[in-house]
This record gives sequence, structure tokens and C-alpha cells, in this order.
Amino acid sequence: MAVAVKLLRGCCHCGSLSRTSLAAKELLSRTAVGSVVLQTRNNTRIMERVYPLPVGKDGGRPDRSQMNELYKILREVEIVKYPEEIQCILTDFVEGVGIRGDVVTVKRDFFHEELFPAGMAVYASPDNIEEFEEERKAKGIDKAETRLGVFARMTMKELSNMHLEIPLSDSSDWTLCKRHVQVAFRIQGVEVEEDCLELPEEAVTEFQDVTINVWINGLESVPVSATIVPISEKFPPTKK
Amino acid sequence: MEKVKIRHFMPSIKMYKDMVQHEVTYFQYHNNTRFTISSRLIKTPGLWVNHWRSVPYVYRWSPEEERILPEHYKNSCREFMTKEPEPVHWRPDPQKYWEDIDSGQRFPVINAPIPVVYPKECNTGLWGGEGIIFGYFTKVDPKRQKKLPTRPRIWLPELMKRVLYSEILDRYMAIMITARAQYLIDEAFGLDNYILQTHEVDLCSRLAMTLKREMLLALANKSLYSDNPVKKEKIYKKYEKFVIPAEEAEWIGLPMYEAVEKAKALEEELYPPQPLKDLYLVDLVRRLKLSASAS
Repeated sequence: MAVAVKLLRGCCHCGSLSRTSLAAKELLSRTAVGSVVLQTRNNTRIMERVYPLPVGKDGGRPDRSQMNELYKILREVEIVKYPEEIQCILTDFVEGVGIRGDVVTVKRDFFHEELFPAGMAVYASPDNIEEFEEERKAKGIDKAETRLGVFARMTMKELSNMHLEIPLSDSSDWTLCKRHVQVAFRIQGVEVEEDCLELPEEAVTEFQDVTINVWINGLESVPVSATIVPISEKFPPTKK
Repeated sequence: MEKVKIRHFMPSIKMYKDMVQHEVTYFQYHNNTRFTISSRLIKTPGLWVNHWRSVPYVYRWSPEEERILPEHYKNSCREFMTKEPEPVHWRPDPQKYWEDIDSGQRFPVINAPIPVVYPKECNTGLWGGEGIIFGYFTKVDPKRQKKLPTRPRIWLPELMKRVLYSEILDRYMAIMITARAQYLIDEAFGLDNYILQTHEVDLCSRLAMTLKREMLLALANKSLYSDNPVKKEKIYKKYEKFVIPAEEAEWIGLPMYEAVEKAKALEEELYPPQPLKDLYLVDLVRRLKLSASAS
């Protein structure tokens, strides 16, 4: 069968490329290879005979002798498309999707190519849903809001990647307090309440590098690296 | 400009013989087809898939082999050869009659599958009942509102390589599958369920049958997860409804030549061949006794 298909294709190529020179042929083939877009067809064709079959001698399907070339002319009736999304249960934290135990709907390709082979998600079958429900109850978590969700995780990642610069006066004495850090966060575009912040235990009175813990929803803390800089460096005075 | 010589491809007899791969029952009886598929005719009378079906592999056995093969294996083979698969590329019409608009006559509806061919490449993947469709196609030119000439056409299924996981075998496999097979696996919540639920006719592949045999054997012998007894019981409980005895599971989906070899080996174990010298010795003693009594 494969041979027959190859034959037909070869003939097509002969027809289309017969007028071009050999060099051009090579070039064409090269460019064709580079420009191939492999896109999978997510459907099944349903075909139909254009001319309906005659009744057989016994009232059923016709004999071979009754068959004709015309009965092989086909027509597309319908193209059945399969759904693009699938429901699954996550077994691990996936950035931007959810955390362990979440029942989420994701793209089918994403599930089959990334999540499922890596063991980060399982099918949302009734057995699996029940199992994860039991696990949730055993851990004593009542609602989804009490855990850290997708947005909280994204915020944590953002915070752990950022570097904070705390501008403080170089002319007068000071000790670092929560208000200073809150203002520094606000300058960098992050709004933090004072209760979430946790300063180093020893009092800071000099320009140096410090790490500040930020508590998220009172459940987990993120260490944020920071440097204390003189305000004249951070915001130099404008000349008039 | 350089002239390019067009060489028309004409296969030699040897190449035609190489093409003889598949059982194509639909086209071989029509000599007027514009494309012909060389295929093999089956001389064995009796059990054979019907005129409207094509299969990637067949089960045939001689009367001698019929004696030694086990009954459950033969039954499963007969079922594969005679059962009608689920319609994939066509829709059976539920109505009994169709009416001709011009004449007002009523004709009975005949539900026959369209010609789909399953090549031997089927056996290395999971196609979920999809195959190659052969037929003629009339295209309509939308600009000129005119029908273009009818020409032969082949519709091919689209294949993709996906990593599938079998829970029973605890194994990841990269298998060529179609979108339909993927959908069916998702509907069944996993590869194991899909392969164990679906009938051999609809699976339509040797690979699937091999997996089925391995899974059923693992379930029957309880050889799954030998180092983890907790998971072993859990998985066994999940697939308990599919369990069959190990003697039957060994035979499921075996190709005929393997089954015959196996049956012959079993036959030799049960009835070992008696050496001729023993037979002759007994005969000699009998004859000597006879001669002694006569004298």
C-alpha cells in the first residue's frame, strides 16, 4: 500500500517540476523541506457514496457482480472534530495552572505532551477525583482559599526574583524599620502591608545588604534580597 | 534551458510481488479501476472476512492445526474474522427507505461500509479504527461554478507520536497514534482501560493485542509491581473485572504461526514420541512367542 501511495506522489512531482531545470529543482526541494509546517489534524472524515448502492439479490448488500465504478465516487458528509480541551487533576504545582489536587481544564496537547508524561497530572476519572478528595480531607484542608493558589505562587516567584533598594538618608542617623521597607517596596511597584514584613533580628544602622522575609497570606515566607543605599545616590538632586 | 527527461515509472514483476502485502477485498474484483491494488487471493475456503471489510492481519489454519489448537483461541479468531467493526468513516442510516425526489419512488436503504484499507503499518501503532480511504472524488470549482473531472483520490489518516503510559505494565511507550485513538484513550481514562475494554476488531492492530496479552498475563499471574505490595493490590482491584485465567491469557492475540508452534510444543510434552526401537522390540517378542507356541 505504501508503495502505491509513493507512486502517486512521485507522479505529481514529475508533473509539477518537469519544466524547471535541475538546479531549480534542488532549490525548490530544499525550500520545501524548510517550510513544512507539521500541524496535526484533530478530526476524522466521514464519507458517503454519491450514488446509493443497489439492492442485493437477497435484499441485503449487493454482490460483486452488481458493483460498479460509480459506487466508488465519494463525498465528505461530515468532519468530526474532537474537543480541544481536557479536564485533569494536577499532582504537583504547575505555574499558571494550579496546585496539587486542583481539577482544571487545559489544552489537550499541553496535557498529552507536557503534563501527563512528566507525571504532573492524571485523568479526572471518578476514582481519581474521589482519591484526591479523601487526601484533601485527611490533610484537614476545608476550602481552596486557605491554601496558596496560583496567583500567590506567581507573586512569590516575582518577589524572590526581585532586588530591593531601600533609600535612606546619609546625613542623619537612623535604624531600619518596617515603614522604610514598605516605602521602598512601593517605589518598586509592590504594595505590602507592614504586618507581612519581617526584618532581621539585629538592628540595622549602616548601609549594607540585608534579607527581608515577606509573609504571604500568613502561611509561607519569601526571602527578598535588599540593599540600603543613600538617598542622594538613588535620587540625585537636580541642578537648577 | 536544459531539457529534463520524464521517466514514467513502471514497476517490474519483482516489485509488484513486493507490493503484495495486504488483503484488499474491495478493489480486486473490479478490473476497470484506474488504480489497481495488487493483493493476495485466499485459496482456503470457509472462514474469511466478508467482501466489505479489510483487515491488517488474518487468522487461517489448516485441518491438522485445528486438532491441536485450543478451543478458546479458535473462538477468538473466528470472532475476529466474522464480527463487524464499529463504523468510523461512515454513518449507518437509521431509516429503512429513501425517497427519490424526481420520481417519488421509495428504495430500501443499504448500509454498507465505504472502502477503507488497513495497511500493515497499522500493526505498529494505534489507529483507533481509522484507515486509508480509496475512492473517486469530484471537485467543484467555486469560481466557475463548475464540476471538475472526477479523479481517484486517497484520504490518509494523520499520525502523531505520543508518549503513552500503561499503569499495569508501569511502562512509558512512544507510539504512533491518530487523534481518534487519543480521544478514545481519554474517554476510557487511560491506555489500559481502552485496550482491555475494546474488542480486537476495533483495535485493529497487532501492537494493541500484544499489550493486551501482556496486561492480562500480568493480572493473572499478579506479577505487577513486585516491589510495592500496596500499589499492587490497588491496581489489581482497579482492573479486577478484566481478569481471566493465565492459560487463556497466554494465547490472546497470538499470530497464527506462533500459536501453532506453541500448540505443537504442548502436544509433544503431553504425548512424547515413542522411539521405534521399543515398538520393534515388543513386536519381536510377540512374534518369537507365537513361533515358540506354534512349534
